[in-house]
Amino acid sequence: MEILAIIGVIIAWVFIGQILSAGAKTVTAAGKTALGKGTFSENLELQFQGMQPFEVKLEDGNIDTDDKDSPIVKQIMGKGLFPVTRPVNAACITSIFDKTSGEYEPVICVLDAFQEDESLVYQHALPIGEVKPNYGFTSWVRLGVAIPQMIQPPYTGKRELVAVFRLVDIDNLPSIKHGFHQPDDPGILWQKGIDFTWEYDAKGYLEQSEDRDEAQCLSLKLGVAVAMSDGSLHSDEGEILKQHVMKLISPYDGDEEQRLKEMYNTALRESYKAALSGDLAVSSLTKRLNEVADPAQKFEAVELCFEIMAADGIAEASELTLISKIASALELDLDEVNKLRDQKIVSLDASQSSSDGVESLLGIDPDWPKDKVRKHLLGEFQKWNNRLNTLDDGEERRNAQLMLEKIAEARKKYA
Amino acid sequence: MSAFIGIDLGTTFSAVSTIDKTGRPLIIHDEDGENIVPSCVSEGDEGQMEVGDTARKTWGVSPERAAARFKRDMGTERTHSINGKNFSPTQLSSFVLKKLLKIANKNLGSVGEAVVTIPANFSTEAREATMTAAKSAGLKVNYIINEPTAAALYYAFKNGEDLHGVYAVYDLGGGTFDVSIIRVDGQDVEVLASNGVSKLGGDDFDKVIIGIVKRKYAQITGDPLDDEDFTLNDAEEEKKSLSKRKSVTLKVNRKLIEISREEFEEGISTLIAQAEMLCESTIEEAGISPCDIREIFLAGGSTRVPLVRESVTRVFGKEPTASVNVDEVVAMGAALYAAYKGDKSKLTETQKHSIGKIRVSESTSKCFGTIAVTYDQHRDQPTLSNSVIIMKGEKIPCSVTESFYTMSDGQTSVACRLTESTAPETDPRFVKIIWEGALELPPGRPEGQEIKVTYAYDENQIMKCAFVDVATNRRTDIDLSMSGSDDGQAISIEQFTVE
Repeated sequence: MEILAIIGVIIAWVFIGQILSAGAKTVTAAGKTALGKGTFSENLELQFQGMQPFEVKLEDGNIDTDDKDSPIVKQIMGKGLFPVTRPVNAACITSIFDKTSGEYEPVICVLDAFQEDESLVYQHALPIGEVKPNYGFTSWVRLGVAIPQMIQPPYTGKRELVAVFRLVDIDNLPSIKHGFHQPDDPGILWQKGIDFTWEYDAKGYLEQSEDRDEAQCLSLKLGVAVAMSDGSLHSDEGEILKQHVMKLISPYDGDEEQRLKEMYNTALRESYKAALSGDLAVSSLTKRLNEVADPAQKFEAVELCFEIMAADGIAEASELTLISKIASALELDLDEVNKLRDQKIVSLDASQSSSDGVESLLGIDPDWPKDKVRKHLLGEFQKWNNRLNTLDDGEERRNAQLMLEKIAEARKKYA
Repeated sequence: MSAFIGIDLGTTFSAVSTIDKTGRPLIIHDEDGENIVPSCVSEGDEGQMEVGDTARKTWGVSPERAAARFKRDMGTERTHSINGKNFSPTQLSSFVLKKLLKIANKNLGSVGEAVVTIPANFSTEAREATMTAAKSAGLKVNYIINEPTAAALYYAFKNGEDLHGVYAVYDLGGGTFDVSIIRVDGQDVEVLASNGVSKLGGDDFDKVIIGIVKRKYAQITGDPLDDEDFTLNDAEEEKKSLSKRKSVTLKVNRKLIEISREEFEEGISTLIAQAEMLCESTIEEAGISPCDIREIFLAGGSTRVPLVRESVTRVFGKEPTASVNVDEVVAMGAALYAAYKGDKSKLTETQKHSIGKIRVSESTSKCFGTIAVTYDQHRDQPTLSNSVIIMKGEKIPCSVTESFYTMSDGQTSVACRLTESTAPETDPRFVKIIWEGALELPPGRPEGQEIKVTYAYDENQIMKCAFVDVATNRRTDIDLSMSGSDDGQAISIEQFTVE
């Protein structure tokens, strides 16, 4: 909420700044009109006659030109004769590219107001009204802004960026997609790119996408590790993995679908092979998942593990222990993980879980002191006693009763 | 003058009580002079329904000809068969209540208002089923009371003005276990916390004995023991013996089988562990420590088991008080409550004086909430979640209002769900939806419209809920009587007779 509020303030400053700077000339012109010295349009013409060719520059400036304390942004300042041969209803459009890799790659923005109509790619548009040949700006006027604080380049680190300024014909609007336009587009009246650098701390969008793919592969590998914790992959476990991959690729088609399918299948094959040879190191998988995944993805990974555990209808202690270790290594909120566990366990046969595995079943860390175990058991007892009262007759209710008995067994063990 | 009666409708035994001319509670005996009536129903030779000892004996030898332990199924769809005919737990309970009413009528001449007791953690459905059974039996029941509260009331009354402080009521009956932490000041009883386990009682102890006997019989003979050769009634008798002796030797199919108390106690230790956890969590909920509790009052026949008393001493750090007949305290507390809540004009001056100092304040024994969409920050997605509005342990009466907001532009209705749980659950899967409806909204409005949800629980255990669209004041109201009190019309037993 706090972040949203800050962004809201920045937007307000941008709009106020635009209104103030674009309106400055109009105010001067309107002032003269009000004083009885010619019409408004005549005054505009007088204001803009006898100047150098049009040019732009990039400079730092306050987002609100009247407020020196407002955030500093990159502003595109323009001056000189309008580069037009006929009167044109014009606008200034600013795009930003990342050319660190040598290629021009778009940068994206999280705010609708600074996005292209049909994509997330950064774009700032400012209509300036009708411009005529031999008219222009006598002094530097802000015509666009590049707000690095609100952009997301493809990758993190020091970025070589280009702010591309375009003067366009609104009545013949050029098609600008992902920052690019066709070379001979007649709607482009004038353009210029200005380089600048920016140190970007967060993850870039391509990085995020690559990380997302890797996180999914790592989740699948963890799923295989859970499935193989008893030494073999059962068909019902394999089916869960397959269904998961199908769910992942379902929003895509064509090449992307094919690419993802191959990637996930490779992850499954590799991890299965590694598990067979005893080389599937869960700790390295969780370590990497911590580096590339966000908390939601990590929860998804643990959820998949629980689904695999539940595939055969039995809460196996070995599987529960492994999932507990995975969740702990992923630094997930224990209460939330327990919620996931409970959702699965309630439909599983807890009676087949050995008394040695009661700790795994109940989420007890054997290293905990007795007092902590007893406190934890009390919480589990309250939870499952409630569930026994609320679940309807049937398997889930029977399992809730079994869980209460398991809790009581553990209580005796840790008395 | 019509008498007030209190009924303990138990899993294995039931009892009926009234207040005498001096205002003191007393148990009403049946025709055989028994204080308690087995909660068993059978069909007589001429098709009539029989309740009590005869039915219990029938159930012991021919379980298909009788029904018992149906209290545990109150409020569910389960049925019990008697001679191939299916009966709901409500029907069977109504037979038991009718029998108790008959006993009361015979002894008192005329019965007025009655109070029936229920376990503390009974669901709303089970409470309503109990009220339905009472009305179908012809009882005039306006209130029900939780069993441990009734027991607490009796103990407070019995001690005159002597009790001051925090006490515990440990009520282990035939089928359910309840524990309450109460504050008593003379005859002013305030329930601080109350909890129950619905499937923990003497019946479960009996099953442990059956398990031991079956195992030993199989070891001796190599054959399995048939159910009818050693029934729950037999097990109950052996359990009573084991409460007095270190071991018992029984004869089953001409084989002698010895059971030691130690074996029995090992068998029930898991159940006792559950009881101990319930006590600890109730103490925790009450916000006190065991040393704050002055005395522990027992109720229910199963508290006679020595291991139970040892467990009580272990958990509370002091021995329990056992100065009364634990089979009768709940019924007698209910009779006091009937007089306390009933029409005082029907009491004599002496009775009025006797019960005049009684005060009972209950707290909610459940959490009440609603299901709404919340944002799951851990998974970064919206999710359905149970939001608790009235927390368990809130002093009654209470009223809580919370605001929720519409989710989408043009939303024209809001699903209104009243949920119940004995713990503050967020997962909708683990709560009971006790009422469901909708609040219709005007079209064409943006998202984020405020819907105020108010739950109010009054002293008569009536829950009133309102879902209000703040902008238009459109509302959906629900009145749920937690005591089961409705229009007062008696329901005919005929609707439960079997064609």
